[in-house]
Amino acid sequence: MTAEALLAGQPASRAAAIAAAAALLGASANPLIAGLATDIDGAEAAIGLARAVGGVLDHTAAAGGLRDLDVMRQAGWITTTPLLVRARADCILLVGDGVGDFPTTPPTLAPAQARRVLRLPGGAALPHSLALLRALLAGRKLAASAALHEIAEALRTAQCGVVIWSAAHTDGLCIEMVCGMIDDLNRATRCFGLPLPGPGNLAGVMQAIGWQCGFPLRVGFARGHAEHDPWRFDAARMAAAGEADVALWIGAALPDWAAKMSMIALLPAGTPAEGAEVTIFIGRPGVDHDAVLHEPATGALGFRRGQGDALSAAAVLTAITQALGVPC
Amino acid sequence: MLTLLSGGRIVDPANRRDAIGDLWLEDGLVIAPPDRAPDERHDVSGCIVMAGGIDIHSHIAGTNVNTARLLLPELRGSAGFAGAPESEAIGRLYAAMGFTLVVEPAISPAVALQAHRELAAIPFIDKAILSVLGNEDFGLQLIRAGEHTALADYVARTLAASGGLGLKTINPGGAAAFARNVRRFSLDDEVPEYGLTSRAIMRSLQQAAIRLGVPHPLHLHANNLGLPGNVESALATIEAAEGQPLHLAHLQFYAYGEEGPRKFSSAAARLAEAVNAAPHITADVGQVMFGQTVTVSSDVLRQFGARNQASPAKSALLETDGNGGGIVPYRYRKENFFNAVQWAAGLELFLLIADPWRVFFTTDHPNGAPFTAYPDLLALLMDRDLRAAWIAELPPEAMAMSTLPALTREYAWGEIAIMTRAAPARLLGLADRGHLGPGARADVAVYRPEADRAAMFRNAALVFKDGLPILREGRVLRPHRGRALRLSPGFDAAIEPRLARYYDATFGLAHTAFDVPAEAIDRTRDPFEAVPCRN
Ligand SMILES: [Zn+2]
Repeated sequence: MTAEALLAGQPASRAAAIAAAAALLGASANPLIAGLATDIDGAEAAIGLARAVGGVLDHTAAAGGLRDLDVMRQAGWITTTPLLVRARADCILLVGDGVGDFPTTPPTLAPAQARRVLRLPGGAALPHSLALLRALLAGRKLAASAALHEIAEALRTAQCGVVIWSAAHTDGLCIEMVCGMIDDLNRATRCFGLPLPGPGNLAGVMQAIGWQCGFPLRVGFARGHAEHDPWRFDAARMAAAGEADVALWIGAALPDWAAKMSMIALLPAGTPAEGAEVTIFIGRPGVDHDAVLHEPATGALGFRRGQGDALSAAAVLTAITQALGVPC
Repeated sequence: MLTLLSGGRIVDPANRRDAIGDLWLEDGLVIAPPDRAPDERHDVSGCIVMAGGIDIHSHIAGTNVNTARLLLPELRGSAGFAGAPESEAIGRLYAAMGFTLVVEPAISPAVALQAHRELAAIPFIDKAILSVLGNEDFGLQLIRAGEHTALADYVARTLAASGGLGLKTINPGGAAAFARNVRRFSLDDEVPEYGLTSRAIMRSLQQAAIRLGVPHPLHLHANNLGLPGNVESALATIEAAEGQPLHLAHLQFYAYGEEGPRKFSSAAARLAEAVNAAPHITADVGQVMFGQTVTVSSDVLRQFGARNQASPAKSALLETDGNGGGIVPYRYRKENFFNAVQWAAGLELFLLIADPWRVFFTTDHPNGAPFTAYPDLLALLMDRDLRAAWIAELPPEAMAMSTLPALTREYAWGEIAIMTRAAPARLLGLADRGHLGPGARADVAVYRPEADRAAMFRNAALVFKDGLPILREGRVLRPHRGRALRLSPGFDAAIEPRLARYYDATFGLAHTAFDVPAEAIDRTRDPFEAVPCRN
C-alpha cells in the first residue's frame, strides 16, 4: 500500500500531515505558497491560506505570464482566442521558440480561403528580425530578406492575421515589438496576437488571483492585505535571498530551491518527495478528480470531469487553513 | 427566527405603502404581523425602510472585468475603488449601500463559467448574468436563414447552459462587421458575408426573447455608443422596436447631439421625450461621474475607437467569434467640456423621463463611474440645490449645451424605491423582490436620514439579507453568501445535435464545452436559484 502522506520521509496519516503543515505555517515568519500548479478550487483555497498566514503566492510559470502581462499593462495589446484562429485566421505567423506547427488547413468559417502559416525563428536574431518586419510594415524601404518581405506582405494582405508566441520562450522586448506591430496593422486591416498560456494552469490561477485579490500573480499578504510586486514576491528570489522560512509547494516535483527552507509538498501520488518535511499526495486535477481549469484549446476556463474522487489540493489547503484556527 | 423592525418609515411603492410601521421577517421572508413576540427586535424609528436595492446593469464579473483588474493594478484600493474592485469588495460595498441583487449584463456564453465562478466569490448579495448573443456566426446564420424557431431554441439552450437571467445583445452585428474590417456600423448597415443589418439581428433576438417568455426584454447595447450625434441612432432604435418590449442599456451614452461650437451637445431632452412616448421602452441611464475609472465593454468596435483616449495610456482588446471585449481606462474630468456634457445628459434623462418604472439607476459600472459613486448620484437626484452647486463648478459652455440647469425636479423617496427596487424586480420578473409585502424575500435596507444624503446611502444603518442582519453602517455583522439567479427555458432538443455538429466542424469541440454545471461552481451548495419564464 502506498502512503497517503509522509512526515520526514516516513509514512504518516493524512491528518497528522495536515496538522504538521499547519504547525509549520503557523510558526513561520514569512511563508511561501508556491508552485501553484492547481485548479481554480486549489487556487482559491491557496489564496485563503495565504491570507490566513500572511504568506506570499507565486506560480512556477509566473515569469512568462508576467512578461506578457507587462507588455499589456505598459502599452496594451490586441489578442484573440484559439477558437477564432481555427475558425477565421487566413495568415498565421509563428514567432520564436516554443510554438508548435499550425496546420495549413483552411479556416473553418472561410473554407474557400487558403491559410498561410509562416515562421520567424527564435534565437539571437529575433529582435532584429521583428524590428525589420515592423519597419517594412510601416512602409520603410529597407534591405531585408525575402522571407521577411513575404511575411510583411502576408500580414498586410490577410483578412484575419494572427501572430502566435510563447512568453516562456520569448523576451519582453520581442513581445512588445510583436504587439506594437499588431497595433500598427490594425489601422488598416485586422490582426491579433495569440499568447500561448504557460503550464500548470498558469492562466487559470492568474484569473482566480485577479478576482480574489484584484491583482495578477505574485501577491503577498504579510501586511494583512494583498500587495502585488512581481520582483519582491518571486519565490525563487525569496528563497535565494533567505527571505522565506517555510514553503508549501503544489506541483509535479519539488523546485531546485527546496533545500533552502522547510517544505510542505502537495504532490501527485507516487512522486518522489525527498527533502520535504511534510508530503501529502493529491490527485491530478481534471484527471483524478473534477476540476475547473484554463483550457488551452479554448482560451477559457472549462470544467473537466475526473475519473475518480481523489484528494484535491483545495481539500488539503482548506483543511490546513482550518487547522490553523485563524478566522478567515 | 422571528425578527421585528419597529417604528421605521416603510417605503414600499409596489404595495402602495409609505407610512410609519412595523416590518416582520421570518425564515428569510417578510410576513404579516404575527401574534407572537419577536426573537430579535430592531428599533428603526426615524429610519427609512426599503426592500434591498437591485442593480440591473453593472460589470462585476467575467473575463473582461478581470482583465481590467490585471491591466490596472495601480487602481486597486484607490479612493472610491476607481478600477474594477475584487469580488469581496464588490459584495461588501454593494451590501453596505443596501443593494442585495446585482446583474452582470455582458457575459459571452464561451466564458460564462468564469463569470459564475467570480459571482460565487462575491459575498453577501445575489447576482445574475445576462448572456450575450448577436455577433456569433451560428446565431447570424440562423437569422440569415430566417429560422426563427431554431433561433429561439438556440437562445433558450444558451441561456440554460450559461446560467443567464436574460438575453443581451451588444452592437448587434458590429463586432462581426469589425472582424471583417468595417469601421463604422449603424442600425441599417449590413454585416459583410451575412447580408444582415443590425436592425434585423436586434429584431430577431428581441422576438426570440418574447417567444421564450424571458421576463426581461432584450437588453440592447445599441450602435454608435459615445459618438457625437448618436441620438439619431437611439431614436431610430426606439422606432425599430416596433412597439415590442426592449431595454436600452446606458442610454446616456446615446444622448449626444452635434450642436454648439464644439459640435457636441446633450440631446437628452429629445431622447427622454421619445422614451416618454414609447411605453414599451425601458432604459438604464449609465450616468457619468467625475474621476478615474476603466471602461469595460464587449463593444469591441467602440473600444477600439476609444483607445486613443485611454488614461493611463494602455488598453486590452480581445477579438473572438461573437463579441470579444475591450478594456480602456479613462478619467472623466470636471474641466473637460465633453465629460461635463455627458454628466449633464445623464441627469437630464433621470429628471426628464417621467415614469420611474421605466428609467433605471446605473452608472454602467465602471464605464460611466464606479458603483461606489451611487451615493453621490442618489443625493444629486434628490436635491436640486446640490445639483446647482455641482453645476457651478463645471464649464459654463458645457452647461449651456444641456437643459439641466433649468430642471427643478427632485426624486422623492417613493420614486427612489420604485427606480432602485420595485421596477428592477418587475423588469427581471422577480415576484418576491423589490417589495416588502408578505411573502417577499426578506432583503431589507434601513437608511438613517442625515443632512449628507450621500453618507446615508453609502453605509445603510442596517441591511438584512434573507432575513438576517448582515451589515450595520458598513461593518460586517455576519458572513453571507447569495446565489446566482438563472432561467431554465424549455426548448426543442433538436437544436442539440445541430449545435454538436457545428461545434465539432468549426471549433473541434463538444458543443457542451462551455456549459456551466452547478458542480463546477460550488460543490457544497447549489449556487443557483431558478427563475421561471413567463410561459
Ligand atoms: Zn454596460
